[in-house]
Amino acid sequence: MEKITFKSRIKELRARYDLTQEELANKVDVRRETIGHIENNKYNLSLILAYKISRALNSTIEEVFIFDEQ
Amino acid sequence: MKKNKLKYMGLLGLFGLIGLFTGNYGFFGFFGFFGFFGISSQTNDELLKKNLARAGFNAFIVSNIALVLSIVGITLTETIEFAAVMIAAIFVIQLFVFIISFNYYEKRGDV
Repeated sequence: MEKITFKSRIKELRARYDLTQEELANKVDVRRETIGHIENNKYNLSLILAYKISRALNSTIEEVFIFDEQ
Repeated sequence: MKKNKLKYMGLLGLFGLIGLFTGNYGFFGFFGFFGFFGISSQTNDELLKKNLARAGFNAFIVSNIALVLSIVGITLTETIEFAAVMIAAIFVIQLFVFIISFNYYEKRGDV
């Protein structure tokens, strides 16, 4: 069975908009730790949260998250 | 911002006050529940909910196993003292399993 994980570009996009993890977390109503885990590919988030984060970063889901099929 | 309703578990800490009136210091252990007030300011997000659920599942499994063992033990020993000790032990064990699991999942994230 293949394992599908996300690779996120949140860190890169945060830098573009000069956002801290805390600021992005507040925008999407999650904890800073959750953003940290997503950035480090330690947490496969829900589609709803992926959409919220993408919108907060003025990007599409495909621009922020990259599928990694193993 | 979504707040964590788990903070209300902290109210169970008030049972620790019984120790002051009865002189039974064992009740002071209930003061540990005040720790739940510490997470009241945390946003209740999906990762937190997932970690709480997984930690709760671990505690459930462990408490079930401990309960079965204690029922067997109580049946064999037929003493109320043994039952009292097992109730306290299961209570402490499931709390520890929950706290340790939750902290572990929080640090590790969830791949």
